[in-house]
Amino acid sequence: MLRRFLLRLILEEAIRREEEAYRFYEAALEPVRAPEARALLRQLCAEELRHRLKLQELQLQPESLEVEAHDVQESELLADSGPAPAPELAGLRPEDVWRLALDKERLAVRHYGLLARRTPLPEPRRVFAWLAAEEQRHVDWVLGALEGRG
Amino acid sequence: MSQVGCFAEEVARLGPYRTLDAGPRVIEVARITGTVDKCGELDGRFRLLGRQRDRHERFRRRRLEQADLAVTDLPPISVYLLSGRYFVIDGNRRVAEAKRQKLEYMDAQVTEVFPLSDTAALEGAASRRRFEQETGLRNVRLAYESGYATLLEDIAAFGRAGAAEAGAAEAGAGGGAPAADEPPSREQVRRWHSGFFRPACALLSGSSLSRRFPGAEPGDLFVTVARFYRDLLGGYPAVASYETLLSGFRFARRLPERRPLRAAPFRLLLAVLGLRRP
Repeated sequence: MLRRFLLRLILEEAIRREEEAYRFYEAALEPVRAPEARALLRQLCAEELRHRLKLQELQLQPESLEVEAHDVQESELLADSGPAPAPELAGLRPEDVWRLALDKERLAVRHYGLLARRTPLPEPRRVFAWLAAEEQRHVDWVLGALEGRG
Repeated sequence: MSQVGCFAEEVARLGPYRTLDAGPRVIEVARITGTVDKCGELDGRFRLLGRQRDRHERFRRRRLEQADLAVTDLPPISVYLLSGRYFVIDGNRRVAEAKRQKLEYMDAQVTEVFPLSDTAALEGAASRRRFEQETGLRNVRLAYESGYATLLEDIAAFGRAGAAEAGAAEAGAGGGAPAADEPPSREQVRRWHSGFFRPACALLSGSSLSRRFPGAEPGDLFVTVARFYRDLLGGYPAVASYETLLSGFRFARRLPERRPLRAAPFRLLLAVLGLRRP
């Protein structure tokens, strides 16, 4: 019961992170002017919203949160980090926006990777692994944008 | 005593206008508030005003009352629909009887009237007509009629998603998805309407969204959410329930949403466990 509740909390925290990422890319549309870069930002917004929906759907399915007898060492999960508050982006240069985005995406890859490794439940584990792969894809996109200098 | 509205007076205010046959419909009796050729002769409940010399008219009305006929057994009335109000072309006595019997709805042959200057209304009506012809659904109400085109797109997307699922299940058994410009099948419409649209509208009408947009029908809210997902994600994500879709929409549009798991004690618990920065 407690672990099931804890998993709900973990999912809620993941949803909050996705929301923060969405707002980050939404705000980044302000300083970034290049059409291709803006299209990428909109795509990243869409992806973060898609992740949020996926996580919420998982949170709404109680059967997927049934507990297996396995100890989850929650305290090991990302003790080193949490997403920083969304910065003020209006005055930044596009390449600075992309660098911030890169940090956030790398953090997200680590976060979901750890959750996937540590979660004993099959369905959440599958979703977290999928999300980690998704965020890795975002890392590649952002790196591409950085090389093109936004 | 109030009198029924007069079509000639109302339509004179419009300037040039055109009509559009909207076909047979079930209409709300409360919205029948005017007449075409009995101006000045009827009160607000379509009863004759004062003493009438027309014995024949009196006789016909009394016979309708005494027969105690169910108005629904009588032929449909004919009405003009103008600015959300119905004006009776044929059937003033039947309307009087319907109002006397406190009926909520009755059958009518409806002709819509639009000022030529109101192109948005004309386009909206054309959009609704196309929706009704292609789907056979006549009870889907929108306050903003341009939304009917979105509903048609939604049905097509719903059909394609269903076909894709079936196709995946049958591993290429040849059951292709309908083309985007192909009218939806009645079965597809039925499944969309009863399995998706109506439950979604029930959720929307009970949500705070309907209080935020007081003039909008649940169908209008459905259209707004559908357009949001179409524009951002190219459509609904396959796995999400409507409850989840609505929550995502609220978030993106910065509308308030209750998330009890974000209460301070839970945030503190996550921070203690090292899952969140304090």
